[in-house]
Amino acid sequence: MTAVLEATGLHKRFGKLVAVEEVSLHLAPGEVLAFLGPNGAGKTTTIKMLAGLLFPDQGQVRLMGKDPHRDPWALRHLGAVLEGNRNVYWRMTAQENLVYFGVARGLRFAEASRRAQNILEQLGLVEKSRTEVRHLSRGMQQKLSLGVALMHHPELLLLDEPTLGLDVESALRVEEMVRGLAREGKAILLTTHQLEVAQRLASRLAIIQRGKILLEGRTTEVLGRFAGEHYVVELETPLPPERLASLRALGLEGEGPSYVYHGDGEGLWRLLEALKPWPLKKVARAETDLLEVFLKVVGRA
Amino acid sequence: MLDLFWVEFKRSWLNLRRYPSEFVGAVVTLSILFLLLFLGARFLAGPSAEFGERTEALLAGFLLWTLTLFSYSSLSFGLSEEAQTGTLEQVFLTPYGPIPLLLVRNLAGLGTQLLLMGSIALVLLLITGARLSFTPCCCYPS
Repeated sequence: MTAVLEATGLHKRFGKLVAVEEVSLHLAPGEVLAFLGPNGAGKTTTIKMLAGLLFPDQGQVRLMGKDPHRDPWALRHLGAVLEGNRNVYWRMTAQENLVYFGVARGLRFAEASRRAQNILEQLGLVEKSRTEVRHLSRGMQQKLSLGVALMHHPELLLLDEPTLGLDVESALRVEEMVRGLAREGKAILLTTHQLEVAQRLASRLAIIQRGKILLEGRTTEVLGRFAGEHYVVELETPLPPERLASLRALGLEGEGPSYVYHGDGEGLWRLLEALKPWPLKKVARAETDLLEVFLKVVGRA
Repeated sequence: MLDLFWVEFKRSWLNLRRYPSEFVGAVVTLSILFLLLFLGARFLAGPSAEFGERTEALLAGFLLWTLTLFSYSSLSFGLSEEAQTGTLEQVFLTPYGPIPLLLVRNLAGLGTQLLLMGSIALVLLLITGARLSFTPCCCYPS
């Protein structure tokens, strides 16, 4: 499948500080890549290089095969909602912002006006179309920012903290919109500190720290890999201390009635044999979440 | 580019229309500045100083100087304002390139600046009693 975004070997240095080192990312249509990392890891610098806002010292970026640093029309393929920024003019209405940014992204005025109407309908902001942005709620402003990014039908969306500061309902709506956009075939690069959001949305993830990518892969595979050989063994009643002491040697850990077994499948069968006839409630492979993976990767680094 | 000019013009016009206090503030401030300069010059030159027809020349010079200053500073002021309000990156994501967009923005902003200059001129003509007369032909570049 043709990559919408292809960034290879990006380097960026600010004086003595190496902000980004050998970062390569690629995104295919319909993919959501969660680009994660602690503060100061190099996420924003990378995003700015991808968006043509910052020249990389080394490496190259291709948006639909075009270099945004040499050919500004490559930016027609890109829409962005940048964190910490308003992204829209507060003194203009929702509709005026959409038309302004649509034209600024290369649409004709008439086309931008039509598209603005469609976007307002999609976002459920028709009633607020003539309201100045400063009078809109944060959730509506965030939706409008997303609408501005979508005005010119970009193939790639850079979303930096799209759900930050939103109430639960607004955040869920934005999440649903992101899912819908991915289904339509948009490639989405999502950066967020809300790891549960990233886990729900991302088909792939990349973790960056101190400018280097430490981990990249499909979300399900990464979670599976980090879950490792752990099993939760839950009993109806806790084991007596003398029985537990003998089972500890087989790899059983924790205090009852819920225990954790560290080891492979064969060892688990030996443990279950040894537990007989103690009543079992549940035996299941332990699951991990993105938070755990993130902390392990970042902590290990 | 014409569409871009139109939306930029509309943007600056909307700012002017929605926030008239800023416009009135600029007219009052610049009129007071001119009067302070004018009265200050008279004070320095002494009570016998008579500007006569030179008031008109002073006024025309002040207006042109203000217009030039506004045109030069609006770009840097606009950029720092965009950086503060957090819209600068979105402006730089234009496929036209930031420099052409900012040039078009400056050109489109000239309309509202001329309106501001016209209002200041009217206020000062009323206050000082000076009269400016020129044919529209003098606006054409020779």
